[in-house]
Amino acid sequence: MNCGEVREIIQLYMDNELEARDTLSVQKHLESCGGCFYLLETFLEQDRLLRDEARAEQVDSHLLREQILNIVRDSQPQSSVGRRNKLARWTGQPAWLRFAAIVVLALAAGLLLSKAGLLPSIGQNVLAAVASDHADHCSIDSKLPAITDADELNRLSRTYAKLDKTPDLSYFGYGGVRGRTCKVNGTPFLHLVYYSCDQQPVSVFLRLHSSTLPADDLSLVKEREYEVVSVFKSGVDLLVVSSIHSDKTTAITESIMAQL
Amino acid sequence: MRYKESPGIEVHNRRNELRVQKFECEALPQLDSLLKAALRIAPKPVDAEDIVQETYLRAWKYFESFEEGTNCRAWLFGIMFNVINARNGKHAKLAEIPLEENDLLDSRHNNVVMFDALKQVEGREVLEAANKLSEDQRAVLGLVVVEEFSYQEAATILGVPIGTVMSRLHRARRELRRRFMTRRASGANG
Repeated sequence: MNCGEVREIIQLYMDNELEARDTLSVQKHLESCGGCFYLLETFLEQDRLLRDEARAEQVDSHLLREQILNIVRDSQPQSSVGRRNKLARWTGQPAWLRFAAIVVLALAAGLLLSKAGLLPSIGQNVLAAVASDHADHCSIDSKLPAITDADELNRLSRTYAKLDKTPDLSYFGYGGVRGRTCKVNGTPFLHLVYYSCDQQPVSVFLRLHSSTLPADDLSLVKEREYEVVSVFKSGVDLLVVSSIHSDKTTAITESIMAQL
Repeated sequence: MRYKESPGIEVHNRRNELRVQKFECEALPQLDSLLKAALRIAPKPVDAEDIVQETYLRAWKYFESFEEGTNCRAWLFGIMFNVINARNGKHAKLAEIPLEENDLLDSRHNNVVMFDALKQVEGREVLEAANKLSEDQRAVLGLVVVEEFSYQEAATILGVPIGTVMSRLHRARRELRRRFMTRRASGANG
């Protein structure tokens, strides 16, 4: 091989992309040609400097990792039941498209409802309000009056959610239910608080359906540091608030839905 | 429908948990590599983060189709460059211009001088110079030199023929080298 031929394939040689016969030919040429040898050394050194520097660069991917994990954990596989399929398709869309869709839908809904005098009594404000209510009343040491009598709680559950008894969350390790009736943004709810063995509270808000929201698909939002899952099922509006993992909060909501 | 009582839902939940775990173990460890590569291509850091997030969302969406035992890293890079190409509106691949030889760069004297000059250069300077190459050149340089993908893997990731990878890489390395030679020459003159 002459210099011209070697220089044409010298990068293939350094990247181990040459066949054995050509590799040997290049090696043989390099042993006797200083110019080509230094050309190879130059490229190798240049690559080494670039690789080492690029790999040593530090990036802060912590937040991005959390965002990705949250979306992945909250979404469901495609081969799932209908409601889960919708969520997976939704999360699979580009972020800007989802944001744009939410803005357009929210504006359109707001415009229509305000014109019709049917402003929703549950929405972002209510989600924020139930999160605040949860924060204010979920402490086991709360001095605020709470109902602990099982019969009375069952009666309230019948009134607010057509349930025979208060929802059972023992499957998830939650018990010691306390209840109160409250008004959230002017709408009466039954607020039940359950506790795990390590005193982690979960709030369940129930009322007979009386607005266009929440939708009959599960909706999960983050309000302050709390996960808020809302859904409408069997004529009942259900909101679950907790600071535990969103998957578990969703599972608890689904369990209550099954009891409705 | 009573979810909790349906054994299908229980199985589904378990399957989904396993799927999330597998995704965390196989796909997420590549996050830093992908982010660094995206930062070398994207004009702004926030764009790079968007690209990587979209890459992972697509990867999650199609994770069922990922074949276990195959190269997850190459698969993710392939998705990322699809995202980048879609953002750039690259629907058609441009034909590569034939390689041109530059006698000045290939003289023995210059090669020796250049090699010696590189010994004085900081890695940071090489990286900065590489970041000023064209997007196509940055991409192929990043994949082959930094990530050490083979030409065939880089071609699959970029969705271009292997010959295109070779010519882009060839040009990228030579262009990088030319910039250092030019800078050295101007430094010597100055």
